[in-house]
Amino acid sequence: MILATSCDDWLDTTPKAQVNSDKLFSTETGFEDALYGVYTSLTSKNTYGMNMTYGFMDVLAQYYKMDNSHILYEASLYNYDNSKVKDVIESMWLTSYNTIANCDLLLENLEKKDDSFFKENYKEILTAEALAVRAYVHFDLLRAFAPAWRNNPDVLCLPYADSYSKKIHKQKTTKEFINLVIQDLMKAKELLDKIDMVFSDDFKNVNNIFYYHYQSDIGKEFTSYRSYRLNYYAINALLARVYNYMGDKEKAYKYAKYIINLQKDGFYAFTTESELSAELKERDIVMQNELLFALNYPGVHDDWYKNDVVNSTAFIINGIDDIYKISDDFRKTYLTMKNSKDKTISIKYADIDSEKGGKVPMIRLSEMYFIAAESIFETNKKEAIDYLSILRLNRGVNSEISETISYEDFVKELTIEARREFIGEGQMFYWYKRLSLPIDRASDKIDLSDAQFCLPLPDTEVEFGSRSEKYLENLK
Amino acid sequence: MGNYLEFIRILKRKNSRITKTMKLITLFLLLGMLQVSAEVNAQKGKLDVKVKDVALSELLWQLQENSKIVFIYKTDDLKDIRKVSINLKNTTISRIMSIALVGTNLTYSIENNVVVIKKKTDAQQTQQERHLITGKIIDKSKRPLPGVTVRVKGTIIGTSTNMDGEYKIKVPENSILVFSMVGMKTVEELTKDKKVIDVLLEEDVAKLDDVVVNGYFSRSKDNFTGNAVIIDREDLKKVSSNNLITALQIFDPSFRIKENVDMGSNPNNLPDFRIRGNSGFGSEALSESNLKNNPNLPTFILDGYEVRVEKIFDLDMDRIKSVTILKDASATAIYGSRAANGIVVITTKTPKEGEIRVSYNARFSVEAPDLSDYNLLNAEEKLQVEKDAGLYEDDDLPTKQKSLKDYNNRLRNIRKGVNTYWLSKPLRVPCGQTHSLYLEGGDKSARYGVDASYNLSPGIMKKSSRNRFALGFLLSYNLNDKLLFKNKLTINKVKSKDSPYGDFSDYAKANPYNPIYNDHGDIIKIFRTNVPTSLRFPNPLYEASLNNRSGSEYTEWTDNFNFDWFINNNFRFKASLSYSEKNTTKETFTDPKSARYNNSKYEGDGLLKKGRAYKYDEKSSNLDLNVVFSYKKSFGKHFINTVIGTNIIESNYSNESYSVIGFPSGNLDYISYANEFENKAPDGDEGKSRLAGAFLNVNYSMNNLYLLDLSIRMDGSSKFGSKKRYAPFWSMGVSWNLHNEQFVKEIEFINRLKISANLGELGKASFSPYEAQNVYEFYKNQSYTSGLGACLMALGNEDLKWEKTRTTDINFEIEFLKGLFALKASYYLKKTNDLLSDITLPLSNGFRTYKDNMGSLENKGYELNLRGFVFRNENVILSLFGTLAHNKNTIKKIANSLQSYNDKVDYDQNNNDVERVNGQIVTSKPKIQFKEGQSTTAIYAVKSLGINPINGKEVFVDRNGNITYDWNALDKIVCGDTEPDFSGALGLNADYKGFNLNMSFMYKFGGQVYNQTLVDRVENANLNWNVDHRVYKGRWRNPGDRTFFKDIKDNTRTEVSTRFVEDENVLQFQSLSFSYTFPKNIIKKLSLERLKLTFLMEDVFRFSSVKRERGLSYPFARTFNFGVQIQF
Repeated sequence: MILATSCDDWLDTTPKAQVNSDKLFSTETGFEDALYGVYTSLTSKNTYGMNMTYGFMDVLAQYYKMDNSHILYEASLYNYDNSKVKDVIESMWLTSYNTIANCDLLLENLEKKDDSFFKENYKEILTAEALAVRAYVHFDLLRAFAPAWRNNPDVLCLPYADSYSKKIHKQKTTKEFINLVIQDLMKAKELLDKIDMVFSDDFKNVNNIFYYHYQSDIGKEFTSYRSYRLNYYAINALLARVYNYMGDKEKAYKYAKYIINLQKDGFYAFTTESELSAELKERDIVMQNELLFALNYPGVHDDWYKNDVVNSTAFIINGIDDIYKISDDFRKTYLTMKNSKDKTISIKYADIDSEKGGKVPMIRLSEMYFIAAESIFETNKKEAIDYLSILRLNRGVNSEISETISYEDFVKELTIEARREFIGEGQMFYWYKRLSLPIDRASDKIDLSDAQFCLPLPDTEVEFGSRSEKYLENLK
Repeated sequence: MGNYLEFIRILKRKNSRITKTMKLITLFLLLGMLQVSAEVNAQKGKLDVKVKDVALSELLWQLQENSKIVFIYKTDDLKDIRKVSINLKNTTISRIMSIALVGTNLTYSIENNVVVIKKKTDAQQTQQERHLITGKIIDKSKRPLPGVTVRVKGTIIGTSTNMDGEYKIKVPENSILVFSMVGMKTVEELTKDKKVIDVLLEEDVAKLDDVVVNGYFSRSKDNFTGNAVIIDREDLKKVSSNNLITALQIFDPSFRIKENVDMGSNPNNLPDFRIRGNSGFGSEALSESNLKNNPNLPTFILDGYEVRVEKIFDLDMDRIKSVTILKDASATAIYGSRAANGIVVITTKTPKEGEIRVSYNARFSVEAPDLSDYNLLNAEEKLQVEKDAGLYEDDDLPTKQKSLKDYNNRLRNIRKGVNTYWLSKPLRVPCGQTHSLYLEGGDKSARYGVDASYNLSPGIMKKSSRNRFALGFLLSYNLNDKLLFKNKLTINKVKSKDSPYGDFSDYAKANPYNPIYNDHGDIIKIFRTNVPTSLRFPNPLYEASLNNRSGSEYTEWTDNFNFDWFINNNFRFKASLSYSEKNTTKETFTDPKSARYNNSKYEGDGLLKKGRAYKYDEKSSNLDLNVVFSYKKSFGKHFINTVIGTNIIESNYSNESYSVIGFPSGNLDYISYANEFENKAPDGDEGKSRLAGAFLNVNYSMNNLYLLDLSIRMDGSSKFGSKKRYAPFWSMGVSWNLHNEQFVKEIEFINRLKISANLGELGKASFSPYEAQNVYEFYKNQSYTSGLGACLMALGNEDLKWEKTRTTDINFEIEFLKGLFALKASYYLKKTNDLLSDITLPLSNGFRTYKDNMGSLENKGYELNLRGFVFRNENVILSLFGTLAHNKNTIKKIANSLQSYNDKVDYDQNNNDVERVNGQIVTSKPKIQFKEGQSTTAIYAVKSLGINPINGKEVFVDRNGNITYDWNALDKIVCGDTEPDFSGALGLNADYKGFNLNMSFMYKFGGQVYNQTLVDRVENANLNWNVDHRVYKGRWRNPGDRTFFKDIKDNTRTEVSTRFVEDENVLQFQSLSFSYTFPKNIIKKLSLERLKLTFLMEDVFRFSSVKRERGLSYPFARTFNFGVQIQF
């Protein structure tokens, strides 16, 4: 028996250049590394490092003037059958699910380990963040690939990969799927409830949010750099986004309002003009104090630069003056610039050596204002208008909205504002899809069919997962 | 008395003797059943008797029938007497009777023609049983031989010698004692009245192949139920001078090297080969590193330890004592998880006792390039072809003028006498040499052996070479024949260099009208043209004039320690430990002046990026521990031999590599001159695998007639998933030594007749070490705020297990007329299941594929091995041999990833836009596909009916049988198989007074090949380069032309069609050797022990039914070797 066990141990060889899961998860640091790995994998160019933010998704949202030699040109025409477009969609899908698989294996191992293995609160934090990333990524896949909620939430669309396995994950209906997203988020929220260090006053001071850490307490870097990760606040904000997607106005408002109210306690704040007008080196190009969740990715500047030097990959803003009607708009004045070829680009990711750059916004404060405004409009029009006005005020835009404005017109106002706000952040396509609005392209509008709003599943997914694409047929 | 005796009457029989004998033999062969019959021939008082296992009464009855003798006996007395077998000619009745009654309690007396048989008196009986014989058995060096079998001929009485070589045996009077031992010549002695019989047994050199060595233990061939091919060093050396792997093909028709049309005779090219067909889906382009996990390679065991193929490839053939190829379950099962592809066991020489003895072998070789497969145009013809093809015509007048200028320049060159034969330019006729020295000696207890060898193998492409150095020290100590310690240390160093002349194909396509040097005698870098073209015509010799180089080097040391303890006659304990370490370095350097930097990328800042050096270092080590405990004993006619053992192996490798760019000049090539790293981070890889196994082998033999062989092995491997860590492997074999049966013994012309059959389950785990695990890799260039992220590389599979091969084997061996003619035939069925495959996943699992055991392959076939002496007398021996193998490979099941791979091939072939590089078509080639029911080596192409004489277009048959001009990948059919139906070798060996002549041929037929030369160099030939002679012959020009090639004006891409599939039948004269061993009386005067001169020619010629270019990247060569062997 002893011999057998020791033989077993002896046969357990582990790679050196890499590390196998058993060895990685034999230390607490290994768990941290796996979580860092999850966040790092989000920065892939296939997903939030490019295509699910400023790249492919914003091409679909018609932010850019597409040269017909541009590698994403066919995407701007919604030619999802084009082989290049297919490849991008497939890699978005695969990389997203790869991140999810990483979360799943991490969660599986967390569950296996006893609480005593970890420092206080570590297990809760690790579990909550892994759950929240899993929910975040799933939710974005749903927004991209599934039909909008209003179409039919009871049709089978995407698989929810909640276990690390070679077994095929079942395709879920939108409703089932969203419930799983919410379930994961609720679980994460409960885990962090009361123990999350972001409640601490140390996190209040906006200037401390990122730089804050226990300098005397080496070994706590993991917990102290949590301000941009999926912490308790970010999870609440994500819940607001999810309920907003489902049209559950009450809950959406509740969560959005919770975040908005945090400002009173000194958490999060709108970026000031002085922060935006600073020298490029110090300019707050991503408006970092407003970020509830962001990826730390210094490499984004290199990627952007590589795209920007050639026409076939550059992301040139289409109709800057159509987007920003008011020339004083801070976002136009301070957050766009002319590139080396004298074309207007966003500087959120541009290679301008800003100390505050290197981040990819995933959820920002202003989105909470949009959600709150949209959700409360029918019950409290004034409050709704106020939210929009506050936001505009902070962007250097005057806002005079009549109290008699209709819901439809109000949504149009919100859309105009959102389009200004989310440039390069991959949110707008989902916005148009959710609200079934025509897409703004410079001064034009493009009407998309419900089917065009759905990215097709990759061929290999359909073939090897034997997925039903009935929902697409129903939309046609 | 009258009451006692009975008179037996004689009855006449009708059957003739001849038919009886015929029946007898037929029955022996076919049924192997016991047959009671006899043949008695009486002439002039002498008799011929031939009976096999008959009752004594039957014998007497027959004797009586055929002679005038009358037998008188009491029936009861004969009742319990054993059956007798007698085969005597022209003998007296008294001799017959004494043999017939040996060991019985009967005696006889003869008076006139009456034989009276009666029971012995008590006195007579005891006297006979008391006859005790003792003795001592020794070998040539007077050492006692333990374990020698001593038997009374024709009986079951027997014993064996003890540790001191002594025996005691009680024998009946006038018996014959037979002394036998594995590896020794058998001796027979008449007992007569002797009390002591001492015997000297001589080593039976010629009978070495009666022992099967499997790396853990050895077994006599008679006691072996498996299939083994045994080759000794002398035979090997007649076939090849320094390439063991090539030589093995001659001896075993199932051992086949995969032909590499590209690499030719490159001394640095490791061959790819297999035994009995493909057992896995190997990748087509095998590189050196792929060989590490090649699913088809057999396992090599050198002196008891597993080694890599490269080590065998670099092994000095003079060190080899014998090679054994083990093929079936019975032979290989004790290797368990490594056995499925067969095992090749190699043993090296061990020192002999005596005063210091020195052997020296020297060999000099000359290699000559074999360009007979090339059929290229000369300068004049080439220019004519270009002109005819309209290369110098253009609608645009200025362009036309420029091209005419090109034409005139070329014509002027030709007039000046330029007709460059590029093919010969990178080639040479290199002389190689090998020296090996062996010193041995010692006394009974301590012996030593030192070997040193030095081999220079320059290749036929200039500056390519592989040089090997080896040194070995062996010390052994024998303590009273009880304990044996042996330690062997070997050091190997191999240096290989690739030719800076680059790829041979560059020379095959270079235009013959271009000169190498300009008028000033400087080497031309690029042949410029007046017509603006993106095509570049670099002078391939220019690169060779620079300081480009590429090569690798490794040093390996190995220490083997063996401990042998002969506990007593029955028990033996053996432990051995081997450790080896190997360091490999690879380096390449590209001169900054290289033509590859003639590119706008390398201007300005790019100047600092010219020149590149690459360095790769690998360290690997191997630890192998064996402990074997064996027990053997005979109980009467039962003999049992049991071996139990365990085995632990650990192997490690790790490598690092980096490349740097930006060198100031080709001479300043040291790595520190570089300007920067090519990539940000260095590369590296690492692997560790462990294996622990235990095995049991039970070998039981009854009377040396019936054999049962059982093996079981349990292996645990770190490569398997954690849930499937241990695997059992087993085999079961039976065999019947018919030649030991009395009834066969009596057929004089049969010396050996054996039937055996076995089955078993073997494994292989030819995958890289960590496939089963969930492996995380750290992000190299990116940290995440406060830490480095680790990301999953692959979806591990903890259920991953070994690949299983179920084999069944039936072997038949027969030898006639004292070895004058021998035949060995085997049939096998090998089914490999649970093949490791990529399983395609829906991407929502986060990965594209994972590894699993899916898919199965079957190989079945037969092998024949014939050997015979055509002529044999005192001076001349002439023998012939022939082998033949047939193997059928069938894919039984494939994984979904291979299915989608097949679909992708079809899709790609249909949607592959005609790609033109510089206006010329990139030709299409058949792709490997894996379909169930087909072979792994099948050729897929669309059926072609040839060229329509009316319009010169190719006519295809689609999948519905309709005729069409449109090529569609979905219409592809299996139209051939690169595996031949039959392959094998033929040979001749002749000895005459110290002269030896040996010729060996290899053949294969029934296979097909896709003649790519006809596509690349004829039909889709790129006329900007030199082409095959056939380019203008046989193309369609006018309606009515019946041609093989399509319309000459049609320059569309030729798709893969059956038109180019040709039957390949090959006969290859593999080796011709001639040697002379000087007679003893002459060499004694020179105070030598042995002097031998040899001449060996390899790859003498080759006939093939397919005319195609071979040796594309590196040409083939013929080798001539001259050798001398001296021993003193």
